[in-house]
Amino acid sequence: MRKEEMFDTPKKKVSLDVTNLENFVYDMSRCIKCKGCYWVEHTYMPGINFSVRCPSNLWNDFDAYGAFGKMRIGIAIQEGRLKWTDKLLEIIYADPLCGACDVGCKRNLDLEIELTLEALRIKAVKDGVGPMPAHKKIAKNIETKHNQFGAVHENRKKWISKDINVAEKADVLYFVGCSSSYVNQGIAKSTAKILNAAGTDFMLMGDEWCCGNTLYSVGMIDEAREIAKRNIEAVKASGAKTLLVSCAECYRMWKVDYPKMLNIATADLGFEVIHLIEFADKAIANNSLKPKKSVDVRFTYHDACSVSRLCDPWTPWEGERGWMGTVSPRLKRRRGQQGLYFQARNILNAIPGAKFVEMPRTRENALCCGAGRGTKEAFPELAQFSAKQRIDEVKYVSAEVLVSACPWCKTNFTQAIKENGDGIKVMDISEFILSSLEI
Amino acid sequence: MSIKKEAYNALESVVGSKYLTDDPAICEGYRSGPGGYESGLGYERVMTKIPGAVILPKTTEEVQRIVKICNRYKVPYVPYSTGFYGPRSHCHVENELLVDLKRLNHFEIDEKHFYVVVGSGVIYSPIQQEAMNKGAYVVIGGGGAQASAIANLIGDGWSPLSHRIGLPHRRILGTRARFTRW
Repeated sequence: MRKEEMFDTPKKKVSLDVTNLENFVYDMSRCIKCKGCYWVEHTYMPGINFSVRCPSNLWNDFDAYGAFGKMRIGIAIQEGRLKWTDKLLEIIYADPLCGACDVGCKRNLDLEIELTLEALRIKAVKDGVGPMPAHKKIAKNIETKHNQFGAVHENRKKWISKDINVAEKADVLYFVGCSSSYVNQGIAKSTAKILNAAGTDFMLMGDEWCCGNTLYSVGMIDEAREIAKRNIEAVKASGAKTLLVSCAECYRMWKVDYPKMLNIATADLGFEVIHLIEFADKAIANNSLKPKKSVDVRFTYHDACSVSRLCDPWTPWEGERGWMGTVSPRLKRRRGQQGLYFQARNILNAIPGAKFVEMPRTRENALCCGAGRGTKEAFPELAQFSAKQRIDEVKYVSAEVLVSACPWCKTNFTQAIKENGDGIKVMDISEFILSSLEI
Repeated sequence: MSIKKEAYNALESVVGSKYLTDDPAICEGYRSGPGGYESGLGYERVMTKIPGAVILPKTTEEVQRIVKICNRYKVPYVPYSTGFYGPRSHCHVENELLVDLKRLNHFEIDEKHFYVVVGSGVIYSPIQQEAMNKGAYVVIGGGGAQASAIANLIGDGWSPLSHRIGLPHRRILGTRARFTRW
């Protein structure tokens, strides 16, 4: 070991703050194009088909659309060598930020790819060129109507039917989210009925607003941070101990991106954040939820990105980078290993009569549906392309039903199936659970 | 930075506008990064350039036509399979055409004679899995699971199994991946 070099190398202050792209110059500069971000992890490589994990680079073959190209482009942006153009904005935004690249890289090089991609979008907004026009429309909707779609705010709770019991006060607060409140109301109804069936009282927010997923995802961090503060305060004021969500994007926002924006740890939020998957897994295990009704279908499960590789809890970190890129204090990387993989499968395997088959790409290697994080709104053709790629996989395993745990996946898959004329049914995991309950 | 307009137009007639570009942002994505033992020596920073244009052929015939056009218009070009491990597969002169071969991903397995025919965009790990599905395995050169099988065997592999270290380096007209039974 060259001790002189080791101790003489000047140390540089660094943190995981996504508002400063400079924090990720090391990560961008160390990419060797091994394409761990692109290929399915080799241990789980299914063969010549379904061998890619990156929806953006499948949609457009040029390297610029893969993480390895974006790392080089990011350096050029940071050094002022590349001017913002429409094509450059497309490269930065035609990407569901699904995290497949990030966890793939961390099997090889431990580079912070996901945070770099988020930081690039924040820089685009700071530079006055981002986000895309479709995102600005959503931002306006959220500002004026407190939901993504520009729907009437007062209609947010219209999904509640007479057979659903909502408590005035409870330890569990169900945060419904925009999609399930307005578009996929079946998910909200199913979630509420599952909670009722398990004997768990739940309340709703007095005045629920959007979680701000699209705002954060497209780089509008100031607006997203304000929503985060407002929503966290609302939960604290309600006295809830547990915040339960049925939307994967809401889950990631509450569990990861709110703490990230506020520079606190997930554990310091002051309440627990859980997805319905976690609740149902425990409820089935302790027998408070009893899926007894036979569901006679052959089905498969799509790991939605934000309840799988993107949802490891957040812990703030700042320190120094020194010789050979080593950092101190020790940085525990978020590798996507704490996703709700086994919980979802525990539930699905407990559904009587249903035949569960896995697709070739699962868990950390799952191919994103392509809809999330502002992609479907700005690049609907990418979202449809990715969904159709995934549906090919569903057909490959001859499944009749595709189950996911995210309303945005459900909408996107349903639309792609309709356009394709395929006979596959798409269900949210909440709806699938409910179909097995005798209520 | 770009290649000659006449050459660009001719290349566009081969692959169509979707698979040819001289957009600066896309070309920047093909800038060399560090790679293996060259890392830290500055090779990638000092000796490589970003391409003047990038083309993505799908078939061997398209590659042949691209090479002929490059010869006709004196456009320097470099073949590029995955870009893995470094500067050598990137551009080294200004206004060079980078021929990205990732779309050459055809795969054909002959179970009777135990060989595969693959395109330059096919990496080792899917070949290995397909071989294992047939009760066989393929010897992987030193590039690793994510290296292009063809590129690694022909020119730049990192193991005694690669032809660079063996006699036929840069004299190969064809290469063959053979399976061995378990």
